[in-house]
Amino acid sequence: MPYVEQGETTLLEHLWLGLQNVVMVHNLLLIVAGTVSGMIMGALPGLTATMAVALLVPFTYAMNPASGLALLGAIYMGCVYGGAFSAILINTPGTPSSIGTTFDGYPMARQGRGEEAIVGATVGSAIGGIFGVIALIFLAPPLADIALRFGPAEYFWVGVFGLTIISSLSAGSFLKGVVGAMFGILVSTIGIAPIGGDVRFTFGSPAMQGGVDLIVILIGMFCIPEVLTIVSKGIGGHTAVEYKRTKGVLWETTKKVLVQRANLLRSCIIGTFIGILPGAGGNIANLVAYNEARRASKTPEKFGTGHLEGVVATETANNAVVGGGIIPLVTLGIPGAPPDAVIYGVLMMQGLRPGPELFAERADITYTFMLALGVSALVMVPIGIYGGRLLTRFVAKLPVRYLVPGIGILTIIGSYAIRNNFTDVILMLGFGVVGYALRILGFQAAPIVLGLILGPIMETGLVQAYLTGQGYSWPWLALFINPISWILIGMSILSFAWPYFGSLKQMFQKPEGLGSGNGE
Amino acid sequence: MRKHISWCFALAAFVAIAVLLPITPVMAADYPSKPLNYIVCFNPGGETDITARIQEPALKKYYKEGVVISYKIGGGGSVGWAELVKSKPDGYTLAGDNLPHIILQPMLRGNAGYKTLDIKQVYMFESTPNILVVRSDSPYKTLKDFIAAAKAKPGTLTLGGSGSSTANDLGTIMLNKAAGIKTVYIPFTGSGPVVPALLGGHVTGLMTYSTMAVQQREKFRPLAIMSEERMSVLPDVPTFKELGYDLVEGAYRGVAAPPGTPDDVVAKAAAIYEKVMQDPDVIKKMDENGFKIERMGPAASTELVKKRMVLYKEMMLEMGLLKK
Amino acid sequence: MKARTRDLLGSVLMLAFVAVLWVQRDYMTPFGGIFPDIVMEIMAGILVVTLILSVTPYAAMKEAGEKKEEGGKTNWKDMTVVGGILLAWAVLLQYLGFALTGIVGFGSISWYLGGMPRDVKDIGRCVLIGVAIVVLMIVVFQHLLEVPLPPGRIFD
Repeated sequence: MPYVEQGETTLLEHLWLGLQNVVMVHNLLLIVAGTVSGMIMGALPGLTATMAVALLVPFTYAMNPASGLALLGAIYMGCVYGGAFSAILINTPGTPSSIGTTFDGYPMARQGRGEEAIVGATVGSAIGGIFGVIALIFLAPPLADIALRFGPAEYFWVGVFGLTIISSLSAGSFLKGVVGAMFGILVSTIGIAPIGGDVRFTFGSPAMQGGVDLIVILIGMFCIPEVLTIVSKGIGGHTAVEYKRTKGVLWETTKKVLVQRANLLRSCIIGTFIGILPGAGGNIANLVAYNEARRASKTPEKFGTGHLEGVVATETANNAVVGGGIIPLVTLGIPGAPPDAVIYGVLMMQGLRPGPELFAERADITYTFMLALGVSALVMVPIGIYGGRLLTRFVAKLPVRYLVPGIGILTIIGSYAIRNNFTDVILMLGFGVVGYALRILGFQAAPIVLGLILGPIMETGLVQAYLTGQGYSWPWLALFINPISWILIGMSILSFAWPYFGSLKQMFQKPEGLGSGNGE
Repeated sequence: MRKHISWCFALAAFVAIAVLLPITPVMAADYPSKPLNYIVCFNPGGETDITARIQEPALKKYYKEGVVISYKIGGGGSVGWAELVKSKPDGYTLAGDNLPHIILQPMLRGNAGYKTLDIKQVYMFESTPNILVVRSDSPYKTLKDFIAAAKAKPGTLTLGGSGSSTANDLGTIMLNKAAGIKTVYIPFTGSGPVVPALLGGHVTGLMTYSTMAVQQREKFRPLAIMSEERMSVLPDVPTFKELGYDLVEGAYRGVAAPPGTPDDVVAKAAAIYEKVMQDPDVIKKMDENGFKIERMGPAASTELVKKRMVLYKEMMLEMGLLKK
Repeated sequence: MKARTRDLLGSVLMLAFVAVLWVQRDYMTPFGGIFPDIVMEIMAGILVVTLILSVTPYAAMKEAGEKKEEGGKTNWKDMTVVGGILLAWAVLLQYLGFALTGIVGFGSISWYLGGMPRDVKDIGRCVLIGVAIVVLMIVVFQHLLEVPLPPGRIFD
């Protein structure tokens, strides 16, 4: 690969130049403004990072390229972090990258530990964001090379690996989790097939040809059942989330987070790596990190009940995705995640072609951009903690009679704003009711959403691999050719069978007094 | 005390109504007097979006009330176009539209939510001809090499492209037929994903748009382009015509209005887009990025659509892809 | 709801869902159906198993070991009313526009959930807050972020 080899001195020189740029007052102001706007938009359910970045592109026309990119980068970083707020406070992921944060974040809020959750999410996000940027600055070319080796078959197996997370997500019946995931996969097939363009399962209505949008289901299945539950459990001044004023929460929690070194490092790596895979979308990073944190933990049963480690894992991973996704963008010109596609468009319009050229000739812009991302991650901390504290108190003190319609209006705007589509709003509510009913029947929302996200990834990879294999004796052979496929298959089997290892171990161990049945 | 409250209430209500009631529309004679709602039916960052962003500053000069780019994504564009045909035909709601999408979707899907000719063509401003590329380190140095290899091993050479029933798809079909070979078309969800597929060696080559070949100049080797003449930004790439294959195909992009939009409004909008496409900044950016500028007004673009409808219908019937 | 009934009902409903999709199969391309078909077949298989399990003694065993769910009666009436308002809100959105439906929707839910006493002052207050919130949303979304909110067919 004809990359410009970066000598040590040149890299540092570039960094220094970039640093000088970044700390210029107007750039710093832009970064702060961008981070705050991003956080707010991330917290609003329905506004995704992609939309947030796309919405603010026109503002960047008047600016010089470096400042414009710094602004967009800050928005992106802030947006991914902002999703944690609504995930924790109203059980609705503000962005799909915060789905996993609801698992432990919301229970923590209900127990009055909302501030703790927010601090955990903030510190985790900052660390993850910075890690992603460091990977971007120092490891971009080799990581991009690895990303290239992932072809259709590999994406299919990544999807399969993602499905093995179900065991972590289904509190209760594993089979119901599997069925839920398959339900999600089938819903994802509604509309136009990603490969081939078949019109599928549209119930005869052209409006359904657009398929069911992920955000619509996210809002519907996470938020509405919660709202209905709040309403049904009693009215009149009761609040949904508790707030117990505890002194020193900030430092206590920060210490608790920084102690979780393994969790932090692992989640950072997972986030960055999934970020570099174009098309994996980055939305699954938080779920994979959650799953891995749970598996590695000595107390896996605590996950899902309000365990700080869960929140830290998900938020660290999703912010690491930001830096990771930019790696293929600047090295190869391939967006790693959808917001990167918007940034790519902006780069093109500014006449900057992504690729080695960006690193070499326009290094000033590139490094300013990358450092701006890092600064944004730092800026998030004071704003997030202070703002988060205020927000938690506000939501906690807000009586149900205003909270419910408030959430109602946000969900309606959110589901409309995604595609400017009225059907989406009705679908959102419909799935809300369905979600509530399914919850009573024992089907959790998380596996369903997982299936929804992974369905297209798996199908695209599967069919593309099948088509590629037309030249082989057996078309499906294409799925097993690449060594990376074998690694992924192995990882999937391991991840799937892991819970059973626990019981296997128990079977072979000599029982020294009866345990409390700690296995899965 | 009570009086105080009711005054507050009245004031608040007044302010609210003033903010909430939308301004009533004005006559179409002084077009444009309202902001333009420019609908993009594909994902942000895609070719349609990038084109719209390139045009935006110039458009704002003529649409003085403002230009709002909004997204209506889904169904490969069909959701946006289905919305378009139901929108108010006052000339302030225009959508970017693509050929062959708007022809093939209703043709192949039965009911795509809109009919091809319902979409009123305003202006066709660009095209991206199909281009056949391989990696720069590929053993195939010319089109001849590629076709020879395809003939020797039918069904093993794969060509990646953007979407199904798109120009890339059609281009591959047409090439297969014209050269008597059998390459397998691998659809990807957009032009973006085809790049890593080729760079990583997961497909033999790409039947993609000229824009991708320009962007990845260093790493791609274009073998031939499906345009009438060579593109100035890719001077070394021979056309299929030069090499003996009469193949001219690509995606056309333009802007369209809902049915029932008065012809004089359409003409005014077309005139604005004509001026936008004469803007030197716009021309420069389009050229740089590999777009081929077209300048077709309402009549010419409608002609193009009708001609292509006949052509594609024949092709689809021949391929057995047409349902009825 | 007893665990057994839940499992049975869940299996039946999911099977119904698969059936609804199954009958709509109408694939154009040779590979359009590979993926959904496989998923539907596997899912149906699993559901048949869970269906059978839910009516066998196995289910009774599971039920015995299950914890009792958190207490508190479910207030179906309130839930239905609020759900109904939300649904009407969503449906009327495209006809009456965001402003009108927003004020009515917000106001009516906050009034209904307000409990006693329900007098005119209460309604006034709810409507006022509704107006304030709606105006805030419009300013932030429509003007600041340029995300258009539905104006409503009757106003167009």
